Amino acid sequence: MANEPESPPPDPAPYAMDGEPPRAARKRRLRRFLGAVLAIQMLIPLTYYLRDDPYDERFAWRMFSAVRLHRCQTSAAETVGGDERGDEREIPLTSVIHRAWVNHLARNRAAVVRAFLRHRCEGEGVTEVQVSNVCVTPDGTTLEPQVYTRDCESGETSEPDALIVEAR
Amino acid sequence: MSKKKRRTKSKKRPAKTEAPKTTKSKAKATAPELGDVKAVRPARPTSGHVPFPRSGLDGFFFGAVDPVRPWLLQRLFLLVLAFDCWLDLVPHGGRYGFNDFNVSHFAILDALQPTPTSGVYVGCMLLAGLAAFVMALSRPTRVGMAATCVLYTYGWLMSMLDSYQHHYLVSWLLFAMIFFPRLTGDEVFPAAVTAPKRRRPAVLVGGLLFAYGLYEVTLGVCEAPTPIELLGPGAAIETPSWMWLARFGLLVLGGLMAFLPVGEGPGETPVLAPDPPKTSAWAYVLLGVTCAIVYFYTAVSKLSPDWREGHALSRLGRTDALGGLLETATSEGLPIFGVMTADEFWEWMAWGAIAVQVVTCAGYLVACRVDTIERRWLKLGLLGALVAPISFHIGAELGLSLDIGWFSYYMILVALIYFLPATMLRRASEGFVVARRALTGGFDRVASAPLAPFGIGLVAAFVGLFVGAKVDLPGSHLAGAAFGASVAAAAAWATRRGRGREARAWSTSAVFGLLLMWVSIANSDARFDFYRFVGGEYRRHDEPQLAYDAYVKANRYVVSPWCIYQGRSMLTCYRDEAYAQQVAERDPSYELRRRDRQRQQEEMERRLERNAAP
Repeated sequence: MANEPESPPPDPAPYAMDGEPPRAARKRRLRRFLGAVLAIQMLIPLTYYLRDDPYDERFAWRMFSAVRLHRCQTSAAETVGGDERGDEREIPLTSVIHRAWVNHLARNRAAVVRAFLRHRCEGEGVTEVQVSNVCVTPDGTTLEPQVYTRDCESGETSEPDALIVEAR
Repeated sequence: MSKKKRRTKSKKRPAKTEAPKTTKSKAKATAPELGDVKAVRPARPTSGHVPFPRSGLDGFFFGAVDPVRPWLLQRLFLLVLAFDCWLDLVPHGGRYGFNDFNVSHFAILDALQPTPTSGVYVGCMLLAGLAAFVMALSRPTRVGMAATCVLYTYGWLMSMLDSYQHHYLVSWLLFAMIFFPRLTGDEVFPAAVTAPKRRRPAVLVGGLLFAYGLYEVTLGVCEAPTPIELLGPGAAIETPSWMWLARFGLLVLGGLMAFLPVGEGPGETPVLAPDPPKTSAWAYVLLGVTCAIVYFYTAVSKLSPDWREGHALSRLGRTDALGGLLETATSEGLPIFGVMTADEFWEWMAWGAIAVQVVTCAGYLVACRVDTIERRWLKLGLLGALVAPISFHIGAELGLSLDIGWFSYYMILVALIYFLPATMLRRASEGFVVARRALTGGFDRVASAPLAPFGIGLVAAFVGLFVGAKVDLPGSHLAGAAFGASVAAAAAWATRRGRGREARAWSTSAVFGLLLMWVSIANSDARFDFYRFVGGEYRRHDEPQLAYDAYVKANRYVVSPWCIYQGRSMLTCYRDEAYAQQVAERDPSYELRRRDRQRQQEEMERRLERNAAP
């Protein structure tokens, strides 16, 4: 008897309205959840200001920032041949990777630069790969070149000590 | 026993609300509240109502919110997202998987996933858009919202090719929406159910006009041809500004008809509930706080010297709009500020942008609680603060040269819903509910057979296969089939569990969504852009055959190949060459150019012939 429905559900809106304030136990859980989510949201962008990579502005809410407006001229070269001098040749970037990736290289996106260096090192006979960026700040100052090199044999990568975003 | 008593008692209350009221005070005395809404529906078992907390952090997060806010925000946001995915994100899919090179946002993803291809990205975006559309048009489910959030988030997470920070923001907003109260229009507008029939035609026509105007504006924003453009006066007008006038005219006319406050004469029931029900929506508050955090950090990021001194803004602001303002500021002078140098102008503008973002941040924190604010000056202040986000985002669209997709429109939408008074939002959205009820009421009766929802689910599966094939993009076949099959399976599951109404809503909106996706993609430049980008990239990579194939498709799918240019900027495009020529002749600075890739296709053809020659 208790399981019998009292009346058929009326057609227009057969739902109970959602959104009653939570009861004590659920409220405690929700407080913790909200605290954790908000802490994550505050801390993730904060890490940008604590790390050494000013060009990686992802997750930092730095839309239209001055760093994003740097204009960088990127170039890449690789050394082929095992002898000491080797044969250095320029890499025509837009012909080997998608143009969108070239833009990422030009923005000093470290993960992309490293992946590109690794990718090129897989080529036959390549002993060393280098990517270089010459950037100009929004006020027109040209910054020192930022050079990334990978020794294909040892896998050692040399990167700029500190990425430069302002004229010194 | 006590539960039963309460239910029996409350059942009598709707009769009061349905009775015509003669005075405002009477109407208020019988105004529907949360309990009333439950009373007319089979309530889930609850053990009495919990009062809304009013102070402290509990009051901030769990206090009363007008349900029209989360309801409207979720619906409109998801609709914009659906079109954004189909028309603005899909065209960029050609970049994925090129030369097997990819870097995802997190190294762990690179280890786990194969290199994402165009098919994976496009399929993901089509699915995200379809899921968003179904959630917007039905009662959103947590699983459906989570699926939308995961699909969209994986869309950008799979590769750094998509590093737009606003996509990351949209993911956070979708995450918060998973936990929004699951509301329907009938719950948000209880009084509309009891509105007298003679009020309905005006509201219905107004609501339909408003809805159609919104459709025109949405498709117009993404530069997709709309009925006004193709069939109406749009085909014979000189510039698109008239088209926009027509679109906004429809919005205003429909809005006035549907939403103007109605005098409550003797014996008339008010269309809007005088004291609408409230809900507790902590996730809605979370979304508002997320926006506040974003504006806070964007303000912080602009404190660097390059920004403060205006160098960054002067580079971003090389547009006609800001150029004109700069000229006035440096020659005639601006009100209050007077004549200033260009450097001073940009510095003022930069500080203005920072101030706007600080005001917006504070505004969002207050706006989360706007429905419980009693101080009039604070309410007015909040309405004034709305100028900050709106001016910033409209300014960004008109005055700055940015490539940020539909970001400004998302943020304008969110700001309007948080900052505007709830009564205004109610008036602006009630027409939809009435129009939707009138449109779907008949269909609901026809499709009320027990197995009808599952049948419609099967139709969705077939439409998914059909649309997937017709869209003709990598991944669209699989996405269409997977979506259709998922809807059919979900409909079967829900039908079996006695949730036929939900199943019917999912299936019907899925069919509608699939067809709308096809129509909007077919009538926009989404496919043309996709294939021309692919063709261009293969051309650069000296792959004439692949480039040729892509250009053939680009030319097949170009919608309006005849474009009017003024210098380097493209003003508008037309389908008909003769008409475009007429327009071009009206101004000596106009130039008619072909936008298709016919020349490139022929070039690739010649190159292929040369390569084939012995």
